[in-house]
Amino acid sequence: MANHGTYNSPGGFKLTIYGIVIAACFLLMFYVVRGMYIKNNPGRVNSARAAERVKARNELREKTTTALLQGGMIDTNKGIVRLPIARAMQLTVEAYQNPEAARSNLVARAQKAAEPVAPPSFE
Amino acid sequence: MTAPTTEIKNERRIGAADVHPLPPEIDYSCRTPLTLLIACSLLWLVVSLLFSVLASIKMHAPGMMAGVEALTYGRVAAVASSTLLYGFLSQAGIAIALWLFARMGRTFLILPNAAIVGGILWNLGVLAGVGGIMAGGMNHFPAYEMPSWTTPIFIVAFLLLGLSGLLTFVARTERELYPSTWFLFASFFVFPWISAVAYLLLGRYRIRPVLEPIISTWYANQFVLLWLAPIALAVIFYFISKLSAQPLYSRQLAVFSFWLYLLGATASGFQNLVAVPAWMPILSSTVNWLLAVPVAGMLYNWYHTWAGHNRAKKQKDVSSKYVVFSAVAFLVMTVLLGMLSFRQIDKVVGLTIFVTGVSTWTLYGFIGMAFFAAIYHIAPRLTEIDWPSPRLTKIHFGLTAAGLVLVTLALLLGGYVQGAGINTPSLPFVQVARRVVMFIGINSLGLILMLVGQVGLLWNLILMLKSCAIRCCGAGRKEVAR
Repeated sequence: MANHGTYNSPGGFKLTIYGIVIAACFLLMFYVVRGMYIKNNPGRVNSARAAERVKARNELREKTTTALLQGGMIDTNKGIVRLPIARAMQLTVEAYQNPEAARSNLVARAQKAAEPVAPPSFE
Repeated sequence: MTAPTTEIKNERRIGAADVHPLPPEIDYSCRTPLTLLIACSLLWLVVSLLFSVLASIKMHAPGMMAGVEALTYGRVAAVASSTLLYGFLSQAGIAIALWLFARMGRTFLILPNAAIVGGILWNLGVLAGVGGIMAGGMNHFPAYEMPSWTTPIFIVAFLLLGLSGLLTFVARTERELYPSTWFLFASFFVFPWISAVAYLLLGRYRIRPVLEPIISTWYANQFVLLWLAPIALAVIFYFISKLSAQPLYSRQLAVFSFWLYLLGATASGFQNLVAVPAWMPILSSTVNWLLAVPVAGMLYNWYHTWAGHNRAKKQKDVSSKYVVFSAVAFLVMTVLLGMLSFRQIDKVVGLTIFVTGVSTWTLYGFIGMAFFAAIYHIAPRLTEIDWPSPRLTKIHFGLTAAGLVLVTLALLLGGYVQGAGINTPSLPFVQVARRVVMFIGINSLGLILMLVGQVGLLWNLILMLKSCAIRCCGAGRKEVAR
């Protein structure tokens, strides 16, 4: 029994329970603020506009990457195709072993590309 | 003072009925963790003052060490502030609080090993924070300049230290709670709460920038007024009564002052903020003046407990002059805070070194001096050896008080001159800066005096620990070596 004006110290079990409660109280604010932030986070200012611009940038980047790295047909009627950039550079280097022929070839191809397309025979 | 015998230690255990340990036994239970905390805190204080001197000299000699990236002004000033707040004040405050919990509760320190681990972790946190700042990873928030990733280290360390303190409070055998215990109990919950908020909202999550100054100012204010200041107030309450050998003059007045202080201190701190809703600075300004009521209540209580009683003991005890200095500094701090709350004064000195002067006075004059009083009282009881050099204790007080008064006056007057210059549009800014250089020079001189004083205190403590080691373990004796 406690004397007048004094307590008896609590036992080990009680102290453990107190310890758990105190530790929980210490960390209480951490969880309260974290919960509040996650629940009420309004996001950044102009976040919708930022997301739109990121999406447009990603689309553009994807298109240009495809255009640079993959071959494809540009104009079927004129027979113009797109070569992968690595292959195009290789062909250019090879062609310019003979600069005159390369230049005349380039001019011929440019003129062909610029010619108006002949109307189909069935029209 | 004699060391408790092994038999006594074995007989008296926590949990046993009717255990009312004697003061030397309580001190013995606190010895290792508290000696670690106090020694490390004084070491960090010397480091802090070294960096403060360097930062101050850089303000009037900007070319000094300008080529060393880690020692640029911003980083040096941040290291000085962080080591003072976390290395010295917080650490010494925890040590003092643990001792007061045990002594006033008349019980052994609970979980001393956890406190040792917590103390080691805390110091590792400060060390990591200083490294982080010097490597360029600092935050730009006042009182939260160490990298955010160090905060969890402090929270875990405090979890261990705080558990030790509050379980000691729970295990007390003394039924009546003295006002010191109220302040300590409150402050022990404040630190983990404000640290968690600062870590989440200033470190981990991205919040809107307009909120950052509000949260960081709130954190800095709570850190000083609700974490460190209550421990200092607990020390003053304890020593005022202890040294005068008198019960507190009025318990009711202490209750009133305690609650009103907590209420007021919570809303203080925003008085000098701009670009925030107008009600915030107005609220803080009002509350700063409201704080005069609990402060007056405490001073009245202290004066009537202290004055005219037990003069011989007070003159003999080295702690008494520190306690008186701290109590007076508390009053001056409140007046200065009140002055800063006037818009007319704030317009002139609000963005100058005047504010630094107020915070320096608060941290060293009020809180630091109270902690020195406690350290001078506690350390000999922990080691069971008196301070080896009484002359060094006198030198420490003289140099610290003189240095602090010089620093504060230089910053306050310099702040006024700076503010008056800034508010004169015809005066070129370079000329305003030149006018302040003299005051910064006086500030450097004051800081050097304080640094020398703290080196003296640290040296005195080292001598004491050496004597303690020789007495306890025989380490260092020539006979042992032979």
